[in-house]
Amino acid sequence: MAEATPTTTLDDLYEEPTWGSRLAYVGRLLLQDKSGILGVTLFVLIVITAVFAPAIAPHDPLDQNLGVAKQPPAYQEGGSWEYPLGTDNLGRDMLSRIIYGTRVSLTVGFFGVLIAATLGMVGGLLAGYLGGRVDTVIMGGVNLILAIPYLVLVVVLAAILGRSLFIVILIFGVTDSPIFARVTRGEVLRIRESGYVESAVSIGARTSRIIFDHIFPNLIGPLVTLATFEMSAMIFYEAGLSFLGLSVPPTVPSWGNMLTDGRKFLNIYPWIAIYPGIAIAITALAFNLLGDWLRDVLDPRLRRSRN
Amino acid sequence: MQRYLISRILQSFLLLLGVVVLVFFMVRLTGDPARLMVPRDATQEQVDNFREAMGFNRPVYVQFFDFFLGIFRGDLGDSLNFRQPALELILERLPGTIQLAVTAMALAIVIAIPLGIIGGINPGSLIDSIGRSVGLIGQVIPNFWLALILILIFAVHLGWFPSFGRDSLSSVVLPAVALGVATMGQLVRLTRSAVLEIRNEDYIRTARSKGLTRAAIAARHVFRNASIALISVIGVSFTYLLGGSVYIETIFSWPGLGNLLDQAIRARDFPLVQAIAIFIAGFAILMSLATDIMYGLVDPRIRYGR
Repeated sequence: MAEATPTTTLDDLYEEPTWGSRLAYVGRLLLQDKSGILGVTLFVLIVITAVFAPAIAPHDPLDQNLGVAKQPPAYQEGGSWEYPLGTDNLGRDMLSRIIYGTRVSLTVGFFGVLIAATLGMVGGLLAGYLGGRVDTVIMGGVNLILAIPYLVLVVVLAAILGRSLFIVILIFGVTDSPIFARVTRGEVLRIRESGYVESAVSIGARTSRIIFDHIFPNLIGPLVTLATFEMSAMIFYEAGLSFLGLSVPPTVPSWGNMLTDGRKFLNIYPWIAIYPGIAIAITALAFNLLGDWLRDVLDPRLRRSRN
Repeated sequence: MQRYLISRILQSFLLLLGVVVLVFFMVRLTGDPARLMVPRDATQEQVDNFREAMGFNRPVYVQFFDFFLGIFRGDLGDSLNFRQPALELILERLPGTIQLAVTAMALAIVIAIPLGIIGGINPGSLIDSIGRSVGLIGQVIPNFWLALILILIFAVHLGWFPSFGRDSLSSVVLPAVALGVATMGQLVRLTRSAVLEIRNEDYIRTARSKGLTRAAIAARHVFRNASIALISVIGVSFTYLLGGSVYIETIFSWPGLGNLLDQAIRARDFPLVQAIAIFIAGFAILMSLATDIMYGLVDPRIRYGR
């Protein structure tokens, strides 16, 4: 039986990527990109700070101690290392408050984006996939919300609905969903045009299968990248709302609240305003760098050149 | 072009209508607008009298039609706090906000676009690094914090610029910078990437092979094509500037719409809040329309249809 069997088949040449090899690839990508390293590192540090705040903070952020009030940071005259970044007008430790402020910011950012992404993705999917009148109605709503300057919209809603973390998260979640809807719809339309969907339908695939196998994988990249940038934006806006007195109550240590206090004492105790702002900037930097790096990693054009 | 124009104008009108509906119902979201607007220690009787006087007892659609028709007469409601028609107050403050927004935009454009263009033409150069740093800083620093820092350095310590009010020509500098930095950052990045992309286009190669100088190429081809993307961003940025003015005007005590909105909210003067929100949104829609018209003028593909 002399059969001419080829010694190597295609199956031998193609190796299905395992999660381990994917992780290694991502790791290699990360090490090549300096700003990506910075972004990821900062991001991880910030998350750790938020989660382990009680362990890291030297003092209780709510602890008012008028005896040490208005103390400058340690490197200035009159400061001490017990309160490294100074104290505010009520004698609360600035460093501890900034550390705890991480929690508010990350909570708002994370849950706000979660709500926005979910709402937006569902809306975008429906609009893009079903088209027609559904599309018109959904995109009409999207354009309507986007027509009002974001801050005005958020400020008016916050003024009406009240001051609480939950309400702020809800407001951000709803008002930011149009952006996710638009991006999702764009991707869905693009994929619809590309022929995958047509061929899947022609072989009789169920709608849900089409959505899960073809549309979702292509959505993840743009949406994750968008989510990172929107988280950064929400942190800004939460701080802004706090600054206008419309976000969390003044007892909760949020960076925006601290800036409000700081503004009153700008000439005499400037450190109360300076450090929270730096914290916001560093956090925004981390998210932006992370987002840029994610965008490069998740770019489908790069995905094809894997292995 | 005419069809494009007409459809855009119609769209804008519908959008405006939608905004009025949206804002109107936002104010009534809690179900009892009267409770929202009276001081917290008001008695039930006072609340009821107030509700009656403001007409909140009527069915919602009646209230809405009344309000909507009023808009055409120029009646956007009356401010509870100032006891004046809202539109009057708004028009009084409008020039201030426009001056601020235009100055911020102009500053952003004048600094960002040259940086972006030069950075795009010479990537990796010193100017490119400066441009990219500006881009990053603009995206990362919160503008209300920047405002405080600018006041600290330039008004308190150096005394070069005033920190509040709209008295002299130099009063607009610090607020405009604080407001414009974010847009500056965005524009630098956008211009730079647009220039980088365009450089590799075929028509640039054709132009060089025709023997055009680099300056002529830059002016005639690069700039005109980049301006298409830029116009969109500038339009969107203007909306952003209108919003950002809420903080910046408050910090600098600059008499504008943003400041008025903040005051109205603190005073729980929701008729005025409603009026301002509708006005600002309407203004933003108008700017968006103007941007699209400019877009149509600059991009021949839109002018002559698909």
